[in-house]
Amino acid sequence: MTEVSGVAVLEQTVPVFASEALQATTAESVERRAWRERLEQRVLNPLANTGLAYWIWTAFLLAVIGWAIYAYVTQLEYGLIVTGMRDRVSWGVYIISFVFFIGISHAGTLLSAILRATKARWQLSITRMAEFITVVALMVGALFPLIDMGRPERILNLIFYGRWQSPLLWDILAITTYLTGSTIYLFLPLIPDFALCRDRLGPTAPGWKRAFFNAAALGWTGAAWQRQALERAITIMMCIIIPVAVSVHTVVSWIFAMSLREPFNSTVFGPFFVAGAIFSGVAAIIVLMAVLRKLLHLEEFITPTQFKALGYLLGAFTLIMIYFNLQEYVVTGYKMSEGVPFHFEQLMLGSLAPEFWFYIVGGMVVPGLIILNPRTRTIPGIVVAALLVIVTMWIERYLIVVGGFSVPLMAYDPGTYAPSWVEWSILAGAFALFALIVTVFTKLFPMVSVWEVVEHRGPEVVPQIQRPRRAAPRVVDHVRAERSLA
Amino acid sequence: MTHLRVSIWGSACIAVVWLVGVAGQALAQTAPAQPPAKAVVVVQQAPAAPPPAKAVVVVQQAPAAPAAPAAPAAPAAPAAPAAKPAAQPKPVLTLSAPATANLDGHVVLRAVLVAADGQPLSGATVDFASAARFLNANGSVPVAHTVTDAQGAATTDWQPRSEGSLTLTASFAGDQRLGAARATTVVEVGGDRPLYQQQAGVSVPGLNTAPPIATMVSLSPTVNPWPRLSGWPVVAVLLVVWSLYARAVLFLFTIARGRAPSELQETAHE
Repeated sequence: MTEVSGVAVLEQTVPVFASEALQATTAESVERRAWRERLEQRVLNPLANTGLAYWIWTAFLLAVIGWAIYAYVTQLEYGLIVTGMRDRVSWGVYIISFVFFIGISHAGTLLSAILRATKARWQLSITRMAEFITVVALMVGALFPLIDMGRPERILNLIFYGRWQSPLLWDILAITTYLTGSTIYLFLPLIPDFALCRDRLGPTAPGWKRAFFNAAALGWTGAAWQRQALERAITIMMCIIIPVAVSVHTVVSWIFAMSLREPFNSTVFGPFFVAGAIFSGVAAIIVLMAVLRKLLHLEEFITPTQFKALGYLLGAFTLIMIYFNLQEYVVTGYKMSEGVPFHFEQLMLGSLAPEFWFYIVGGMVVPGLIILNPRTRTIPGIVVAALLVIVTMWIERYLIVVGGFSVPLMAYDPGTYAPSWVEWSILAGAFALFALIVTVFTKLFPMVSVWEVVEHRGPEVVPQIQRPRRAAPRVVDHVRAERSLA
Repeated sequence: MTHLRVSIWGSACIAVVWLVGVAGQALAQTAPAQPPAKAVVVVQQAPAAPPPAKAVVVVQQAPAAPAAPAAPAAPAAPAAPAAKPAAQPKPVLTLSAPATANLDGHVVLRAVLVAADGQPLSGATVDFASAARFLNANGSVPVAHTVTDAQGAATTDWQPRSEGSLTLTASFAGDQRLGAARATTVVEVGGDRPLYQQQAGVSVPGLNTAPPIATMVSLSPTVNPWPRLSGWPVVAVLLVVWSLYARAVLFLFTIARGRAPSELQETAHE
């Protein structure tokens, strides 16, 4: 491998697993070994060392969660009257956030599985983060239906007296299935990395952590048959998790689309929700990737190439979302059935107009322009676009839920909704819980899949988007190389 | 001194006004409205009647004296219809219904309207209603309007829509010949069978169950030839997905077992 003015030349990589790669061989170049050690050191360092800032951050998150618990206890004591929900707009921040978090969860495992299935190499260092986002977002999102219930102890009634024909029961089954599958899919590639932690951190780690790594590594030695077993398990999960992930958000959309309410009366809701979920999920991956890259000093392993690749994906989904919005509003607006004029007026000119236009402009037009323009297609630019997408996709769910319920079904005044302090507090607590789980996980799990990166990439690789696997070295930027040499 | 005098006189005036007020209130409570005479409906529960419970309505001329009305009649008295001229003869209305009913059942309400001399009154419209409470409002839900037959009987079929103790009312508004009459009875409604079942989905013979309808079930129960597991497609999908999960998890046990299974040994050598 040679490196010329920062432009790397691809070296033919040998598909070996972590344990195999970790055994320093004479054939392995010194440079590659140094690179691998840097990778391990960067990834394992957060698991071994904890600074004061970590504890301050954790205490802050716990304080926010504590406040949210106080708000929830208030709701339990007085009932849902402390929220802004009433008989006409009976779904609010809780269901909005439920849909939002389930959407966030979408991109992680789905993206990881699709990229793994297509053997895309550029994603190797970010798959772990993506899979983490899925599991954490599902854990947080699944709490919201429970919070939305005024009498949470009645949740079992949904199981005891639930009807197979109800989308609500489908939703519970789909989310449970997806959470289980995502957890398995997250755990499988972690096994060799747990073995790495066991071998590298075990002697110095506290007793409980040592025991945890020992147990989680499942006796991994890197033997050929173990690798085969792991490969097969990953392949099975990779194949099954993609349809499960698509079905989850389709079922979430059916909760709305299968009700006799004009704004939800759409056949495009399923793919619309799936596209929106991947859209917001990709944005969440970008933001988390940027944060962890900075905090864990992973700049060498999470490069601008990965940001750009995800930025392109975000840009593509911007176009898809614009298409779905056009489809939705043009078709229903052309027919203008009863209730649609009111809905359009409240969205585009009325009480929800600021949110609606911010969603359209801030959530689709501006991010699209940021990603299209090469000058703004930088890491900060892509992160700003992703943040805009995350905020506006929450607003989009607000428009769907509140806008939908505001349309009167009979000759009465339109419903109104304003979230109360209890709802805002619980929402803040949910985000804090999300951040807390990620924060804790960074101390227990390597946030980069070391064995996969070592196996499939070397220090010299400039990751290429969807680049087919080839044995020959990649083309060097000769112009820059010559200029540098000169 | 002037202030003291004003205070004493002021207090005395206030005391007098207060005493007058209290006395007036007491009189108003004890003394009913003066004649003209009003019709007072006295509802008496038929003695030892259950079941079926019967309510007997007796229309009496209110006594001129300010005597308190008969104690059992007190609950029904405020609900008496507008008074008809005293000269009109007062009919007697009785309402009979089963003392208990089920949510999915049908109840026959029977009201009999007879004149004071016991002659059945035919051709009179009897209104049936059930008491209802929604949020903070009390009201009644009309059940049926039925015309009495030659025996003075008006009958209707009623399906309870909510459980608990329901008050049913039969009322005759009166006409040019007769005064008004009203009778009530109470039916205890029990059961937990859902009244409304959504008729959603597509019925595919052999694949799922036809969506049942509550009224069809109660009126003409039929044996359903199809299996009751209407959600089997969901179950089938779940079985496939979870069995694949189980297959993946089994590989974890393979890894944790520490020795290669035969199938993997062979492929590893290859």
